[in-house]
Amino acid sequence: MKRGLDGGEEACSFNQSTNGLTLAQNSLSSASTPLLEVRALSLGFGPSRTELLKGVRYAVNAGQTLCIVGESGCGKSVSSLAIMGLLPKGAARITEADIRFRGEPYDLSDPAALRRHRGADIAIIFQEPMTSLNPAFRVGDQIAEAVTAHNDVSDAQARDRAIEMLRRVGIPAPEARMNEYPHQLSGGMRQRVMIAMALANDPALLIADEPTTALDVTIQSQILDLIRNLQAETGMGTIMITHDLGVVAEIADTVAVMYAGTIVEAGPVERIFNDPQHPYTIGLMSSMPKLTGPRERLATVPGTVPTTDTMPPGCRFSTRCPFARPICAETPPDHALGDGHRALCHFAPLNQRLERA
Amino acid sequence: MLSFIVRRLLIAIPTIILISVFVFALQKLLPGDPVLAMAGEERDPATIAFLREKYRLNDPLPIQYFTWVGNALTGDLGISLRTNQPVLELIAEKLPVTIQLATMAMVFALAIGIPAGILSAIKKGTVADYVANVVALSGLSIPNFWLGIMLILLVSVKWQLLPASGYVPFDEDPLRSIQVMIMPAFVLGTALAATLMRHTRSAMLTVLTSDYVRTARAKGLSERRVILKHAFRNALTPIVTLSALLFGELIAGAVLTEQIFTVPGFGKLVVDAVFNRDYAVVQGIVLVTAVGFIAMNLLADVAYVLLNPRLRKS
Repeated sequence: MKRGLDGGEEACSFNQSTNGLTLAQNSLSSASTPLLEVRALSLGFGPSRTELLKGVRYAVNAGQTLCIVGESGCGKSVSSLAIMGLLPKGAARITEADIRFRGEPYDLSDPAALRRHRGADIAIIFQEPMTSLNPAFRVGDQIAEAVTAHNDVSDAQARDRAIEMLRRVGIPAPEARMNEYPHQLSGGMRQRVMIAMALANDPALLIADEPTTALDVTIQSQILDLIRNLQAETGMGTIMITHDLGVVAEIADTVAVMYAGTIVEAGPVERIFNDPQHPYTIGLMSSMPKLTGPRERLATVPGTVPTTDTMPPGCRFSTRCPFARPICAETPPDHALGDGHRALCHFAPLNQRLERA
Repeated sequence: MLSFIVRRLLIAIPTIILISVFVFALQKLLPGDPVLAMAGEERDPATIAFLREKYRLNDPLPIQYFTWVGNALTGDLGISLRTNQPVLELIAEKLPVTIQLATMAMVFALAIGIPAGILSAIKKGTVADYVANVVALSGLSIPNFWLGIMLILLVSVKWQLLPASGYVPFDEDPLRSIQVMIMPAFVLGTALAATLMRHTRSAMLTVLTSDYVRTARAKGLSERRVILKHAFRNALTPIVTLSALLFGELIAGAVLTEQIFTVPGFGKLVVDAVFNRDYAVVQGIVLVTAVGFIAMNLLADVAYVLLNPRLRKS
């Protein structure tokens, strides 16, 4: 129990990772301040007293990619929309928010400040490229608008910037494409336009909310490559929200596993894949099909996510956890495991604790 | 774009033909004989026969129809059975009055309905939304004639701000002409404003939850720009369609309102013609109204295409 308290500081910052990152990436992450550090984020919807997000906590460094994984409805998108200030007005009640951006306090209750950040130093791309562009306006104008929203530039300058961005995201004949409407572009092209729009102001942080889910498999890898290349060029930090563990393995530096509105485990990607400590992460990993080895039935996590009414006060996974003990449902756990690896489980690390329990 | 308009015009032709047949048939099916009415008390058979011959009422129906259509195409809508004036002249006299009234009413409707609709959509569930909805419901429920009479009592009789009735042609004295028509236009406009407000509200509510509005916010645009540019532009399509239809209805006449404010417009002409069984006038009015309606529809369709790039041919 004590270990969790002692290791708390260490656990919430991922930048001390010793997981063999490239030198370039390490040098970009300034010694101790993460680019975005969510120390605690809790929020609820409607009249329910149970919070949909409970103590969400993660950090991302400049030049690195944090993947937030979890099943649909676990709060992955909600947490990022909350940070952007894009949740529907009046719908969400933010009950706890302690966030730092570049080491400065980042105030979710100040709409004007959020708006200055949005599209300027924090940008977001969404899951649905087909509907995320305004059908009534030319794509070039939509990108240029992002530029003029935050910079005192002429229309011609904004236009030039838009053309440059279209070229950078790999759209052929950008001058001609500028004048096209979204419906004239394919899904992959539209997602490229979205990326061009998001990166038009050189943001320090890009949040990508399942950017490839709606696209063909071949286009998916193109878009991932594009994001990765642009990240290498600009040194921006990226939060990639996904439920695709293949994507995680490909691009993540660090991973945060989310379940029912909490981050149940977070750490460097190798640790999460090779040495998962939270029972939910273990279940998630074994549900991934493998190309090698004998064919077996894929493991599943039995049961369903509890509703807000039936959510236990302690560990939110305790209702489905094969290792659950009475303490699990009552007390929320938190354990640091060293090297930036953290698991919200009373019995982490599992191999040592379960034997004793 | 041009080919679209041409195609759309071609589609309008069968509609107009159908309407003309319908108008003609309806007239013949109605009870009452205009000749009997014209012949006076004595009902002298010779006079009746003469009148029937004069207005070619003894011809077979198809012949009568084609004669009527042929004349209509050359601008001859016949002679009023009552006043002996050419129908076209009667219509040409009243149409500008009605168009002015309809336009002013529409200005009121748009100026009230659209901002109120946008406001109640973005303030959904608040007191402002509630108030706007109650006012809109009242606007729909209050009969035009009551509102008209109340306005006359208050504005004209008590405060003596505006004339209670009358008409001044626009080309004679534009300012005075508008002044006289403010009250009837307002009465007509408020009812339409309520309809427009409800439609604007629902269109805006749909659009405001769309992904591209979220994208616009994600760019860091001001809320004003998000709503008035990105959302409203997409909510505009149903509003334009509705406005065109409402305008068409206004042209067709606002009988009660015109009566109350004694505006010498289409409404009065229609009522008089129907009561006097003045077939030629009724036919002419219905035809002109129908064509006007079709024209408004055409305009709405063109606007629809202009507003929606997806419908434009690349």
